[in-house]
Amino acid sequence: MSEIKGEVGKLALSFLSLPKSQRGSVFVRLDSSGGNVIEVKWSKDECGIWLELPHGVFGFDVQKYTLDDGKSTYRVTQRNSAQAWDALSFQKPGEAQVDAAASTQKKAIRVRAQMPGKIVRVLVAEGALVQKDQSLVVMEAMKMENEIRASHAGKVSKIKIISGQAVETGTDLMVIDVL
Amino acid sequence: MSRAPVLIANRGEIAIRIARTCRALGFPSVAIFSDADRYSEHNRFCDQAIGIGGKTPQESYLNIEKVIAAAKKSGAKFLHPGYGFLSERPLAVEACEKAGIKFVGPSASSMKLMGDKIQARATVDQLKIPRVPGSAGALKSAEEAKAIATQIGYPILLKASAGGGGKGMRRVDGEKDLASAFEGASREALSAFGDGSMYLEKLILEPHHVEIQVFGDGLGRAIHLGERECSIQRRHQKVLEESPAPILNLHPETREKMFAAAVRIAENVNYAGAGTLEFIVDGKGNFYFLEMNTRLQVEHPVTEWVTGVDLVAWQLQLAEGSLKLPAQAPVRHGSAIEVRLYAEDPQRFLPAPGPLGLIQLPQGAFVRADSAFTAAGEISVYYDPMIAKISTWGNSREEALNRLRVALDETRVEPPRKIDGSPVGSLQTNLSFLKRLVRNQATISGNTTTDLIGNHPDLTAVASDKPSVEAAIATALFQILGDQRAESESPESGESLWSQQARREGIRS
Repeated sequence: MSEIKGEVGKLALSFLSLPKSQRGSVFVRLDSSGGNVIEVKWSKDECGIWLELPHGVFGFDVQKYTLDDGKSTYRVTQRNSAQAWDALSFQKPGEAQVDAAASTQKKAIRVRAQMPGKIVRVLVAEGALVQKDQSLVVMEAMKMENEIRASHAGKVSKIKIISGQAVETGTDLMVIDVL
Repeated sequence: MSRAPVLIANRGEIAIRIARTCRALGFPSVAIFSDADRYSEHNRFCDQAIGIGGKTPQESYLNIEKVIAAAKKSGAKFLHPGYGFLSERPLAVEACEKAGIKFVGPSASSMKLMGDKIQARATVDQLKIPRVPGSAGALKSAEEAKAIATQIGYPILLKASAGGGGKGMRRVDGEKDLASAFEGASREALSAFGDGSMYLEKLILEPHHVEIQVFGDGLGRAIHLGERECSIQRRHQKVLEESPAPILNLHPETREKMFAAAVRIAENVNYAGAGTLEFIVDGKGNFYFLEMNTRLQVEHPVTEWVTGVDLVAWQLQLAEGSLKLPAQAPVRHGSAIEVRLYAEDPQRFLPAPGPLGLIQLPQGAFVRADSAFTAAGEISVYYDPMIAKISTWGNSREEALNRLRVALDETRVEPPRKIDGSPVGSLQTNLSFLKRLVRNQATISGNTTTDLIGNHPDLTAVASDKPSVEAAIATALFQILGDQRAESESPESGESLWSQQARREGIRS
């Protein structure tokens, strides 16, 4: 079994064997510290992972989420600390280029309701060109009016709701073709 | 001593907080719950719980008939409204009276005098207590608003007369934005409070939000229990509250004037029970009356820490007729700070409730956590998205803030996870924001104006993507392990465990 190489936020590291199961131990080479190899013992739990490293024990809550372009990243919070990171992922060599190529392709984005509520006003029409962060819909939820904004610039290809309509979490509001 | 039962007409952390004092004093406690709250924890903290059906507040906790019917059914002699819901509705007080139940709070008449913001301003004007320049009463139209705004000068704030908590409120910087702001705020107020009437005020610069806790005996005597500064707000809602107020430490003579003004207002309306006079204080120590909250406040633990008074105990004893209100204001000790942990995204502060997978609240000396969650559950979309209030006490402000920093680092609130670490549901919290807030230089210095969050964009910035070595290893390991699990569980991964086993044992035909 060969090494698994990759980097997380420019920090290069390689696993000398394939880690498996909830708990275990693996040797990791850290290119950042001159190819130093350390033993990492881990234990996965319901929200993240505990690490035992030669210099101490560290706990992290780790949450996976998917960006609009379909790429998976992780939000990592160190337990008992104020340290937190966003958009981390372990990129193996060659993957970054594939991601970059995928994200340049044309695609359609579904704008969805993030919580149940009522549509107060629809601010754009089908066929409209919208800018990133432009307000699309005013929605009332939890007794407040919230504006739903475009995550990408593009063209509104379909509107699936009308003002006054009640929507549930995840209801499609409109589709934007990213230009 | 056997005492009469108390119906707690509320939910969440405040229902639990009230139930604890009821039990300590020997008042049997009765919870009510909506269909959406059948499995909520407040039910289990009371001696009895009664379902009142419905899901939305209008169908449940705001429905006076249902609440009164539950009180009658339970044999309750007292009704404690908590905050929000029926706590500031004179109609609820009158309905209680009619049913022979004592409402734990002020009389309907003092509630009407002080609870409605427009009425309250007239009362305060009679007492010659300063208030922010603005419209004399409800605005009839956007045109009227325009005329008054031109007279007092921009920027102005449009506010709902029945409002609170930033709902139905808009800042307007110039005439061109006034009409659309008026329309939007009025519509929001109509849907949130059933009343779309609006008034306007001049916006004070370098503003500090300071409020005075008072307690009245209902017979014309009242005392104060010190102040709270709640200047740190997002979306016009408080997020950090403390006592004493740092701005008043710079202007001690203002503090005494505010105490005197607050007590005069409370005594003038024969106020009964716990109430709060909200003021705005500018950088020079001038103070202006804003409004009165005729109920227990969300942030009352701060006052309890520094005075040693259990405010709910006083409320219940006053309702029962057994309270001896002290002649003097209680002596205040040390410093207390509270933050509100909300289910909301930590950048834009939009509500983000959802299923709760894990909650770990802080413990330790001089730490208090008020929450309705001790285990996995659900933060309901139907009600306020507050998850917990976390407060600490110290001999000095610095000591309290240091303890709060540690308490927040201990706190964890996480959505449930699928096997690969992706969340179930859409829960997000402002915990990462709160951790930054207690480390912010302006917060530490105590120079906290209501525009603090807007002036410190680093508080709401997205987290770094440059991990520590430990975080990098954790991410890589988590991802590799998660991807394996995902593959081994997907149907196209081929052999079943059974066929693998069969092959190993050589029994495959």
